[in-house]
Amino acid sequence: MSRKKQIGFEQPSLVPLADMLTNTVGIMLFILIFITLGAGGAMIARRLPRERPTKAHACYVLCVEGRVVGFRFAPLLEQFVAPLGRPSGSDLEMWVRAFNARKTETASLVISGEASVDTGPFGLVRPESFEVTLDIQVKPGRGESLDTIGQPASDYRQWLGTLDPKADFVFFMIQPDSLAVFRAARDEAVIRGFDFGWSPQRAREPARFSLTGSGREAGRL
Amino acid sequence: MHPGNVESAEQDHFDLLPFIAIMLCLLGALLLVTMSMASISLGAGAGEGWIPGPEKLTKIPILIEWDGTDAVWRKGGARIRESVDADVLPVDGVWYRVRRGENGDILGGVPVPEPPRSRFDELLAGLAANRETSYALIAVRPSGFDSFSRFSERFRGLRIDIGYEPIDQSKPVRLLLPKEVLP
Repeated sequence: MSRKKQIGFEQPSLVPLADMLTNTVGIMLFILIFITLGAGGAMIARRLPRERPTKAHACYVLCVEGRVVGFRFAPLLEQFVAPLGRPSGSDLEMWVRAFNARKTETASLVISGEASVDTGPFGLVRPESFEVTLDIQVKPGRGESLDTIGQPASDYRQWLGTLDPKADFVFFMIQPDSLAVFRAARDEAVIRGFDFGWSPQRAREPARFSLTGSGREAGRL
Repeated sequence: MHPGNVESAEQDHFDLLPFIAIMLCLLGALLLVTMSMASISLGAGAGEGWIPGPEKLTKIPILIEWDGTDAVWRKGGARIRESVDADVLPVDGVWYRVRRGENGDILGGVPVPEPPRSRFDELLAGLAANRETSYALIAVRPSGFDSFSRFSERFRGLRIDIGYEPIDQSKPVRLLLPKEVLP
């Protein structure tokens, strides 16, 4: 005290403060290292069923550009082919031309088709070569996104509400850019008791449904 | 010069505020780095652990990752990666190479000689031999979407049960099996 009075001010030592600072930084670095190492092995657990056959009716969900649109196939096909009538051997070529020229729309989807049939000797049509696919694609900007899919008023939720978990199952058709929205949509379906399936789709291409081959919707014509 | 460092008759204390400010800045920066690392590791960077189910586990899954060119699986603790040409596949004992149109659509197949037996073929043979007790759980990367149906045909053709699930391109994945079924 007497010395302080003599010089007016005594420079305090910074060593304890530097010590405290170094200790704190060291502890923080340890925490950082432990968190990084601990979180590096973090896993998100998912329960995954095995593939199995079902007699339930497939209801489709297109997952495209981060959006989902659900639809039933039969009404879309009916809407598409109604003006054309059913294909028959006598006017197969004419039916194919009309089918290829046709295009319909719903609020969220564009439906077009591709049909072909070969002609044999003498210009006769070969019915066994008859092939038909229906192409369905989502209109730009339509469908539910990851932000809106869980909202009570979302179109996807309302569409799920029209299905029967005992008679229907939800089949997702997923493009590579839509994994996150697919998971959200699947979670919504699972919560409501639906079985589900999925298939990968090529990017930026419509979902293709074969009506004459061995696909899920084959034989509908 | 800062007043705290000046000897003065009126002011005989040392101002710690700049020092504390530096310390708080440093702590804040370290906290930010720590939280960022944690959120990256727990969020986008987190792997996935797959649990077979929800039905009772009657068959043991073998996890196989597919990215369009390579199949990755584990055997005896070792991670095996092998290139698999999904465009070459057997149909009724005859090997075919898929023939594509200009837009990439599959038009048919061209017969080709049977390729040399690979470790992937051995995996398939092992799964086929144990089809009553094992099945293939396939993790499909986005780059493997296009070829997945042909890849899965290799399993279905041998009547091997499969399950499959999409997973982000670079996200790690592993099986989380109950202890009682672990090999």
